[in-house]
Amino acid sequence: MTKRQFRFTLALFLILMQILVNLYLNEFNINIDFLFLILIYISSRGNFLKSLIIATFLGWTTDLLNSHIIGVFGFSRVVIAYIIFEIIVFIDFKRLSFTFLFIFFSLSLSNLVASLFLLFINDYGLSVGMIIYQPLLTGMFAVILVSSDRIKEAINVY
Amino acid sequence: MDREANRSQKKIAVFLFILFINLILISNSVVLTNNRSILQNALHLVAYPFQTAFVKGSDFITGKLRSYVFLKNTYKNFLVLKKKQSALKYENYLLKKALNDLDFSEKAKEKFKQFFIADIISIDSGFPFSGAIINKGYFSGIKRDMVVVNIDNELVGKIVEPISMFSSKVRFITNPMGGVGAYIKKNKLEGLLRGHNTSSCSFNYLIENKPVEAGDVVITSGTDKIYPPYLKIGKVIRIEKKVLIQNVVVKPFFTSKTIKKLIVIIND
Repeated sequence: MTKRQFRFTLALFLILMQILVNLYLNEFNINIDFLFLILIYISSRGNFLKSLIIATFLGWTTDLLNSHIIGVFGFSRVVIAYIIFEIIVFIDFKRLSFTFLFIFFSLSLSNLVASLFLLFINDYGLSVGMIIYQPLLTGMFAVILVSSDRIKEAINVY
Repeated sequence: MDREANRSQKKIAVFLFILFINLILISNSVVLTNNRSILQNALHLVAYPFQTAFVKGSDFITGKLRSYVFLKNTYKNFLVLKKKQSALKYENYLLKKALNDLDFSEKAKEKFKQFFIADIISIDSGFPFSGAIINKGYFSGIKRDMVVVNIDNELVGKIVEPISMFSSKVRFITNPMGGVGAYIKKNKLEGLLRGHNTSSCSFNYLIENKPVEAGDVVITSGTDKIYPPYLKIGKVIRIEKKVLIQNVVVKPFFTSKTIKKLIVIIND
């Protein structure tokens, strides 16, 4: 399997995992944003327009899966994709702790933006699950994922 | 130098344009019940096929995945049967499952004249007590404000927009938007029950003249003209006494159960 095929399979796996998380959330209580990992990867590749468009689509997908108003997560993911794109040169993905912190803070910030929209539109209130637990679990999952040599090689983390 | 600045400006313009599209989409959804502008209608028409395609696509993938899991299990069971071990156990499992499904349908028939049975296909991961998406849409006859209950005839919520062809959104009674006209069964103390996106709801500003105790059952009153009367909602778990009033915290019955199937009652 070539690196490209492996990356495609990995992305497909993450999308399937996201669908399963939303389907069985009330049984397993595992709340990880797998789609955000795809966004991080795409944004760190360096193509500005591609990053923003994919961020929009991933955001809309999150909106659809979470039955939110379309555009809420679209907006927040585009904002975070832009920020990632601007600061990517300063980020060192070789250190697992740094990867974890980066994913935690970026997802937390993105979810905070979305939460503010939901607060103003639907009066939902700020969710600790979205701003703390989900970024924590997603960061931990990303660290587990990147600690595999095969995946590290496929996504060019050296 | 100028070229670099120009490029940077272009980037910001693209970024702002994409943000603007998202904001238009948000505003398009927010004013669902009001009159839409031509631009909003046009955007809705563009976005709607994608939404439908996505829902159908995710249903297809989930279906295939389930089929795969089912086939894998069947193959395993075939091997077990081949060895003539635990054949009866497997058969018993299948019969029990079929009986449960039949039981679900029969129980629903006993309680409601007309209804749909729907599966939950997605739950809001950020706010699990706000709502869920079910696999029945306007193609099946689902309409706004239809009441949703679980198999034990306990109130879960109601259907809200958006309703697509093959899916619709259920807003749980634990969602802070809206409220349920309800009263405490024991002393008929009536009020508006509101959610907070947690596993409990609350009656605010109930007059203190009638005593309320933990464990009292709360049912719908029908005064909100949406939910029919006498549907079980939950039980009182906490009372906060104040001057002249009391705040009563209610835990809906459905929050303590795993829900996979729901019953959508067809309005008479």
